[in-house]
Amino acid sequence: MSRALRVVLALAIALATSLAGCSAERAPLSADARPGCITDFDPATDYFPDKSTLSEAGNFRLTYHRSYQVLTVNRPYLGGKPVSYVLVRCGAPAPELTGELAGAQQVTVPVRSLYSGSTTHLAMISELGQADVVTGVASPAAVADPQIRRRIDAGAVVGYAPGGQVNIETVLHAGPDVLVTPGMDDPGYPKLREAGIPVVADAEWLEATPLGRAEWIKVFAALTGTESQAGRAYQAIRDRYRELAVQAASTKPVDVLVGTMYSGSWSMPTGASYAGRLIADAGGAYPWLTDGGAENRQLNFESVYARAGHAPLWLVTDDWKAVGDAVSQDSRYGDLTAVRSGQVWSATKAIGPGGGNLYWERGTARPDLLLGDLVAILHPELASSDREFEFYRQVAR
Amino acid sequence: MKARTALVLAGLALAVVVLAVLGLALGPVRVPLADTVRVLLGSDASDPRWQVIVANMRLPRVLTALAAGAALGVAGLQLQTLFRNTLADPYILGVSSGASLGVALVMLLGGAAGAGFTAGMAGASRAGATIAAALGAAAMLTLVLTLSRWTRSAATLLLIGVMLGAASTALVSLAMVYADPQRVQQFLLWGLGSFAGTGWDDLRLLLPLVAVGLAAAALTIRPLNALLLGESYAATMGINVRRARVVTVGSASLLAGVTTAFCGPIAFIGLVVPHVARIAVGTSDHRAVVPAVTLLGAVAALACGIVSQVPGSNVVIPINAVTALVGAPVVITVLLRARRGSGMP
Repeated sequence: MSRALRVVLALAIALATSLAGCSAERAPLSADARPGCITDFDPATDYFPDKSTLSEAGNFRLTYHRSYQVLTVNRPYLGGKPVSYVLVRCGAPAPELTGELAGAQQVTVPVRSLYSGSTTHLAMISELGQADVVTGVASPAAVADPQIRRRIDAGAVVGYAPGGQVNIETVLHAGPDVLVTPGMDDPGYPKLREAGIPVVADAEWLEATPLGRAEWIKVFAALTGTESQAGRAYQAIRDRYRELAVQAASTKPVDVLVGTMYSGSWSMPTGASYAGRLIADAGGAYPWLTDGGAENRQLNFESVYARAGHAPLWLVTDDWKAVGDAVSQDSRYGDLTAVRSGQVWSATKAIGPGGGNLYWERGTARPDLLLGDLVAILHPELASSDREFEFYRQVAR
Repeated sequence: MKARTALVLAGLALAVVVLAVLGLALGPVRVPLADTVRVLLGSDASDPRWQVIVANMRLPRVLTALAAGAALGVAGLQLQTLFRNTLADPYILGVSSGASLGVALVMLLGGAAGAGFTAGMAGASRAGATIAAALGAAAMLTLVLTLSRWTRSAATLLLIGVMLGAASTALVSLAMVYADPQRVQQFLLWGLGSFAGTGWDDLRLLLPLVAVGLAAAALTIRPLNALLLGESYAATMGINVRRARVVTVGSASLLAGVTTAFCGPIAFIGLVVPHVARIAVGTSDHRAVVPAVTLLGAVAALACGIVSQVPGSNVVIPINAVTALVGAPVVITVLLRARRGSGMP
């Protein structure tokens, strides 16, 4: 073995042991005094008096034990197998688990620092009054949430995956209490888990319904110990959403055109998709609402035009300032009825300084606001005249 | 002109007309034939929707396929002769990658640097993307050609082209990492290739540019014939080799770049059409092969365009899937048969 190689090896071993040391330091569950911790552990006490119950979400479940709860995510990412996390109230001894849970990831809760992989988490966390827990986001530029924005500007939040790929070393160095994924897999996650940083999957985007997605606020409640706030907030959201949907269902459905075209191919949400459900619940109709499958379908413009080109309303997510921008992007848009009558609505009213759109970010947490916008567009007679739009704006003629 | 060449060209011209008519008559939506004819003759259709579908969707699609096919066929032929390599084509030599890089820079990073969060390739930047694609194509081709001075080996040169293509693809992925996901999605769709992405606005740019490129390519017929026998031979024939290279590279970049900007990087047509055309006319003489590749390129693109817009169906099949899946077996058969029959290289 050459001398240089030996030096490199020695360095590598030193680094590995020091990293292992780091993770060993983080592992003990009886952390120093922090709020919400058990100081005087009694195995007979129920340390989760506020329990979340789920009504709409189908992709996760929570089960409670005295000093820990188990969060199970059925599909942590598209094609992923179910995974369980053991959330242990801090101050309690690590539970001795058997069977499937024996090797499960343990997270000490409430967490003091959280790395968030998707901007859709942020509105939920802010809603729970826990914005101060967020210390890292995947891409700070994409954040529009005002509370998190302030923290980013103050330097309290770092970016750990600005280009889409997790920078493992940044995360290892900061050592957050938990990293919450955007519901996609990343080769870096197993490495982080090995190093003692809990990685919890948030796959709310795999929920079929808007209310199901919003209910993931209860996952953040489980992580931050805010079950009662989450329960109240979610119930209010669900009640408003259902009330709006009932109102809209009493009207005659309005034809809408959804999606836009690129390179001659029109991306159309199916009826089973999140966007499709929202439009159906808002009292809208379009020919592909009966299609199954949660993914968007790529259609040719001829079919879309022949079957839906006459719709009086068009809902888009393109940031067009005026209808003319649509036509200059593709002159064939000019043949659509909604373009001719100027009834084009864009979900780009609330765009943050870095280009992040609250429609994606807050719309997931607050489907009631999103549905309110859609009902007001589709059935203006149902909305009060002084209603302010949250996410949508009418594209200027 | 030999009788065989005349016959082949007449046959190809007929095929172009037939396929163009089919392209207008066939589409995902069933439009009555009488209405199609009425719209084309300038009178009103029985349903205003047919008017829009035939005049604003199918006609641009057919014209785009026509222009793109001719452009790619001619560019492929020029490059094969210039590099004296039968595997050369805009795609393999990295010209398409260069064009993609140009488009990626405009499309993925363009708006991010500017003040506005403009949606993807909006009207104004469409022209920008076209220019960027042509410049990217020209830069790549010039680089390959410059490097060709240091090597006599065609295989090395081809390898260099492939490497440069890989390098520009790497730059594209770098740009994608830092771009808005919605734009990345658009860029990926563009990369699948389509003749259906163009409207009349785009054709006002696409058609004249392809016409200029084809006219310039026509000027290279004589020098290319001389270059078939080597550069020193061409020089003794009184050909200004340097000028011939510049014009060839220029027109090939324009043709490939413009096509790539509007239709995405389209594989296969530029590589294969020249081979089939040479077999069909039975000669390598560019006076016969250039018109043949123009027509055959259009035929191939029109046919692929019809298949990609599956009649009676909602869905779209990307052009690149059609060119490769439908075209490859056909061409392999043609090549093998021709080799067995005539012993042509």
